[in-house]
Order: sequence, then C-alpha cells, then structure tokens
Amino acid sequence: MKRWYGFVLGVLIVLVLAGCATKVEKAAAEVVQPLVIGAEGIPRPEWVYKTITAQDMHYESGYGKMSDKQTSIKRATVEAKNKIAEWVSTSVKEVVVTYLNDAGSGDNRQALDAMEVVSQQIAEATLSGVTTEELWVDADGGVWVLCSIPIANVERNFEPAAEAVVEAFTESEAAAAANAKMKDAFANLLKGI
Amino acid sequence: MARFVPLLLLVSLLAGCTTTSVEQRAGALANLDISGYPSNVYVGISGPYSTEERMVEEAIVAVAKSIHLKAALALDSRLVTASHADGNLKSFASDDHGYWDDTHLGETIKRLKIITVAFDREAGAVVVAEYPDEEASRRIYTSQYDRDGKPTWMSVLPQVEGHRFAVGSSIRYSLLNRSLEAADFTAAQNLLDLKSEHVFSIEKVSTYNDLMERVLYQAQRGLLRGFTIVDRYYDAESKSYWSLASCYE
Repeated sequence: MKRWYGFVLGVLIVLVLAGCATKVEKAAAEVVQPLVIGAEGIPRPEWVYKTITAQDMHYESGYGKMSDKQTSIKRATVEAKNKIAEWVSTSVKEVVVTYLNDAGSGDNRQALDAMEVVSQQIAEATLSGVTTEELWVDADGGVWVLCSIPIANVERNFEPAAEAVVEAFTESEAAAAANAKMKDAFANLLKGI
Repeated sequence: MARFVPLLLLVSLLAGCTTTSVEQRAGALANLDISGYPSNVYVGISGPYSTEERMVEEAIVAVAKSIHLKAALALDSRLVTASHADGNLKSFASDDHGYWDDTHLGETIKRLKIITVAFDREAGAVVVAEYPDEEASRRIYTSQYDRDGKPTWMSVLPQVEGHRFAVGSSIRYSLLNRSLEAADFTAAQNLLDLKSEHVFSIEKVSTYNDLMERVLYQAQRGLLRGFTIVDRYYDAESKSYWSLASCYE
C-alpha cells in the first residue's frame, strides 16, 4: 500500500513539475508562398515579397501599373531607385548624428542643420551605378523590378563628404576618433552589421 | 495504329513549343535587314524627299549617324510624378534627351563603302554601307520568331555576355523614319533605366486639402557605348514599331 502511495505521489510531483516546465515551442514553420504565375507565364520570383540581402550589394524592388508595359517599367524603376536613395539618405543621417554626438556637437543647432544639408548632398551624390537586375509582370499587368547598387559605390562617395563634415565641425580631440568611428559605422551599417 | 497516337500527340505538342528562325519581316523593314552582313555594316534610310539624290544623301548621313551613336550616346532623363495618399496618380511626365558627337560626321561619310542603294515607298532611299575602320565580326544576336511570327525578344530579352539589351516601341507616325527613330530612342531610354551612372532622386511629401500629396522628382544620366539597333519589328495588330537595342555592359 505504501508503495502505491509512493507511486501516486511520484506521478503527482512529475505532473506538477511538468506544469511548471517551459514548453519548447516548435520552430515556426516557414510560410510557404503559394505559386503565383505572372502574365508572361513566369512564376513570381522571391524578391517580389522578400527583401534580398547581400554583403556587397543593396537591393530594392519597385512596382508600377500604368496604361502600358513600358510606362509601368518606368514607374517601377523610378520607385525602386527612390527607395535606394531613401536608404542611403537614412543610413548617412544615422551615422552623421552619431558622429556629431560623439564629437560633442550634438546640441549645436547650426551643426545639426548643416548636417542635414551635408547628409542630403551625400545621398544625392551617392546613387551611382544603379542597375536593374530583374523584372516580373504580374497577372494584372503590374510590373515589378529589382534594382541594385554596389555598396562600394556608396562608400566611395561617402569618403569626401565625411571629410567635409569633419572639417566643418572639428572641435575636440574626440572628433578625430569619432571620425574614424563614423567611417567604420557607416561601412558596417551599409553591410547590415 | 492506336499505339502511335500518343507518340503523334507528343510530337505535335513539342512542335508547338519550338521557335523558328525563319524570316518573318515584311514590307519596308525587310529592306532594312542587315543581319546577314558583318557588324561593321550599317543601314540608313532617308524618308521621302523630292529627289532621289537628296534621299540617298540623307540615307548616307543616317548611316554615319548610326556609327557615331555606336561610339557614344549620352542620355539624360528627367521624370516627375505626383500622387495622392489615396493612391491616385496625379501626374507622370518625363523629359528625355540624347546627345551624340556629330563632329567629324563628314570624315566618317568619306570612309564609308556603299554596298547597296535601294528605294522604298515608305523608307525612301535605303543605303547599306560598310565602315572599314571597324573590325568586321559576327553580329551578337540573331532573332528567332514564335509561332505567331513575333520575334522572341519582345517577350524575353536576349542574354549575351558583355552586352545589355532593351526593347523600345513607338506608335506609327506618318513617316517611317520618324516611327523607327522614336522606337529606337525608347529602347535607348530603357537601356539607361537598366544601368544609370548617376541618379538624383528627391521626394517631397506635403498636405494639400487635407490629403497627403507625394511628389517625386528623379533625374538620371548615363553614357551608352556600343549602342546598336539589333532588330526591328512592326506589329500590325497594335500598329506599332518595336526596336531591340543593345549596348556594351
């Protein structure tokens, strides 16, 4: 009888402990995308719904649906290129703000205003060598394009602009160190590190 | 006999999938076909003029122009688009320009070796000429046609190492040379879209009548080298001209 009570007690303890245990969730199954066939009989490529990443290139997609295919391609390309411009601009602003904070100019309104201008100039100058990699037409006649820019092109254009920022705002010894950090941060940010 | 039926069905199905390289061009465009010549042979058309002499002169200038365009064609494209937050497109307009070096055009004409001169009701004079300063090599691409007689490049762009291809189209204008030039220029613009050396993109978002408005201005430019019209097609159904252009990668 004692053995029986011992067994029941053991089962109860196991059950109680099991209730406390953290449940290991099964890894969420990858969402399987349905096969979508476009107007030209070509299946929808992955880049239409998924961001493509690479160490040396930055990719953006664009969509356009106009009265004819040619204009649709034009609009889709414009949208993709604008997304690339936005990405460069945002990346540059992020890095330059960090630099200004590190260099002790963060509260300087004039510096921040100038930074805004400089970062805009960098973004404008940086869009060189944009290539349309792929194109897909959906069943409704809407056109998707995938554009790319080599990250090296963006970095190359950032160099002289970074020097201009330093020249304009060098106030302390920390600025020199922050400048180096800014360049590293920019390179890393572009590579998605 | 019955056992041959599936085989016959399979053969007829496969036959339906094949593309053919049989010549499908007709009319004025057939006279412009120089695919049988090496790459240093060019064709030029004049459009109608009052005399045959004037037509031949203009066609020779057109040949020389093609040679200069191949050397370098600078393109500049500006586009503005505005849309409302509700998704309605307000405007979409572009302004495109092409620049090429027309100095020494006379020198180029002097070096040309005229191969044939023909006359066509639509094209005017059609001059085929060789440019001996250029190496005579095989053409980079030969068109193939689908069952409907349309070139396959209209749906799938050719893939040739070291070259970039684009297709352009134009409605039919009263003069053939105008229609072809418009289609060629659109193809050149599309080549620029494929690879631009410099892109300037500015977006402005503002509120107008309680509705968010987005205006996007984009300018791009590029220099095309090796710009060539590889093939042309007239689509009678849509009454439009199509050009396949290529340039160096």
